Amino acid sequence: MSLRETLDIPGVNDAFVLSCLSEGLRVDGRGLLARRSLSVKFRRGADAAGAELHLGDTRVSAVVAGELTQPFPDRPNEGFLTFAVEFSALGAPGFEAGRPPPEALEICRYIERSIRESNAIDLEALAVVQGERVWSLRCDVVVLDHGGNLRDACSVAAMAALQHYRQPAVDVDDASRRVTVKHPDQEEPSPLPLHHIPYSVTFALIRAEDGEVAYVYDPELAEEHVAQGTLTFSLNKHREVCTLHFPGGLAVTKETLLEAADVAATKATELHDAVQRGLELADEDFKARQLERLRKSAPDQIGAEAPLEGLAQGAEALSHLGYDDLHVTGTLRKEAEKTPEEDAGMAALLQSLERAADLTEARANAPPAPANGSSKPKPKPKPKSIPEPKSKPKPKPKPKPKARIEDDSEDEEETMQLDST
Amino acid sequence: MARTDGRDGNQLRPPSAELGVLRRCDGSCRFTQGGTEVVAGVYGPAVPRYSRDEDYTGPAVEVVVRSGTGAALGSERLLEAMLAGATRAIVVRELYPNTALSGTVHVLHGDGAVTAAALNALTLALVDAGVALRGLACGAVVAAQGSTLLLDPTEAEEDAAQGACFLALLEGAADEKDGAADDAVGAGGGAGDGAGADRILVMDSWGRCDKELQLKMTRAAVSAAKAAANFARVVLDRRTALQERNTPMETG
Repeated sequence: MSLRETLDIPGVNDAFVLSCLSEGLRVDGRGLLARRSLSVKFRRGADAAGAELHLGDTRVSAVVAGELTQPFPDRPNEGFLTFAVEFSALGAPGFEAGRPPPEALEICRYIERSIRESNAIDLEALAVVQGERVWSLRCDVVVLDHGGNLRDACSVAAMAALQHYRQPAVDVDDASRRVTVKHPDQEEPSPLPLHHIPYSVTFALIRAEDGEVAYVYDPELAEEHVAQGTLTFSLNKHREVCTLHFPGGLAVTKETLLEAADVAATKATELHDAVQRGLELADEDFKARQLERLRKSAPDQIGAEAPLEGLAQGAEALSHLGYDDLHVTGTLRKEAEKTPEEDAGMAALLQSLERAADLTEARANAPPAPANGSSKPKPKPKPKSIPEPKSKPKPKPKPKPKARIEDDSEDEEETMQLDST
Repeated sequence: MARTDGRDGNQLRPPSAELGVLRRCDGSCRFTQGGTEVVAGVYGPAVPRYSRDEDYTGPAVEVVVRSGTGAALGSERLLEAMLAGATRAIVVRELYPNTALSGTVHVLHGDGAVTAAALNALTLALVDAGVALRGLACGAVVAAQGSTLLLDPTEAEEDAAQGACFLALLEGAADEKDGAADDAVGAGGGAGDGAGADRILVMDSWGRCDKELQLKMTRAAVSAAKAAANFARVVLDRRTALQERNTPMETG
């Protein structure tokens, strides 16, 4: 097996990239102003929200969490919004876990400018008790896979996570000035107050052999290496430029700059629509799951607290259904080696799984059987050439549940069979 | 129902694993079990960055664990040490002298049994990277509440438990009398299951439990770890089948 060098050799593709560009194409066949495929996966918890963004091969995860803290004395009404960008050691072979490299700090500074300093979020709306308690939001962005255009990926992920985040409702006791944070199941949290929503659009500036400067949108790794500079705009859907980041490396004409800004405005609107769709779906999905969870649990339970009282009695109804019924534990073989007995065994397993599903439904409706403790976990079936038919379909009513775990007398738990009665 | 999510005491949450999710990493795996989601990536074997890490007997293994936000907490050091130890035990050291193997595990979302998910993900990532392994290191967590055992607890159950145990097995290694046995901790073949020497590789338990409960917890954890190993085998078999289908072998 060949040894991997810690340094990539990105310069190999330079000539190829330039020759593609001279024909108006990118390395992966898209147009000069086309973006790679974008998908965002949202996640929300009681006090945090996250967005995992895939932009082509680039994967970035952003998490927003909030906590109550004291404000600065000279700004008693303002909350805090801090960003942190980290290049995970997964992202590229050269990334080390530890202090963020300069590129990460540059991206972090860019995100701060485009989101916080453009007043996208009303920091005064984060105040809870003037001078005493304000919300401090922290947005952490981690680059899991570096496939190019980290600036866009990180800032769009951060913006998406901020839009998905819900600020918990609070109760302020006027007398004692004590603040209680409500769980989302108790009172619906509210979205962050956003003045506008900036999205980032990055172009790579590449000088072709004839001296013409081309700008390509959403550069990937090979293009970033051959580019002499980058140009990033941050715009909202009202076509307002919130940030312009042009760190140099190549001189462009005023016309090119304005053209690029125009293109960027269109792209930002597209990004806005794409992320908005994802947000709406994620919100519906979260609400549906929350309703489902609340419907199942008792009214006095909050969140995912487990009802501890019922656990001591053990699981009476489903104790005889162990791993083999609800999980596939049979040995898999190649098609050629399958013996007829194994086929029958697999068919029997599938049948018993179906019966288990029917039984689960039946049990959910039927009253609970007398408490009898939970059985020991099922061991994996012995890997002989012909597996024992452990999970035969049961023509009769289910066998009685096994002995409790506390019962010491039955010491051969390992050999308990499903079909013994 | 006994537990909040309707599970039995001896039921694991259905796991799911996806290999090769990251392009730059040599091997990667996203492992999900219920609400716990973990991404592991492996780089290597590669030239070590520092010459002091060069070891002619085998690879220099380093594992980093981060939470989903990238922040590092003190509690992750122990997990890093366990994962690095497990990796050293399962990698065929003799094949990779003077190299570095670095693994990173990101806990995207933790909802109980995070250590098990991290180890399972790292093992599958090592397989995805093509590193030669003696066997698979697969683990599971068992929590004890009173005298009831809960396999694969959620975060709420772990917090409420009086004790818990994380156990990893070296699954599938042939009967070898070599260094792997020395690295394994605990009773060799303690599961007493017969064919295949499934040995306990890593074990970490905490809490106040008497001897009987501890023993039961261990046995339950061994069975649960075997289920995890079964799952890993299923995943790898499917992946092999997919690869064989996509790249037909050339004959002649």
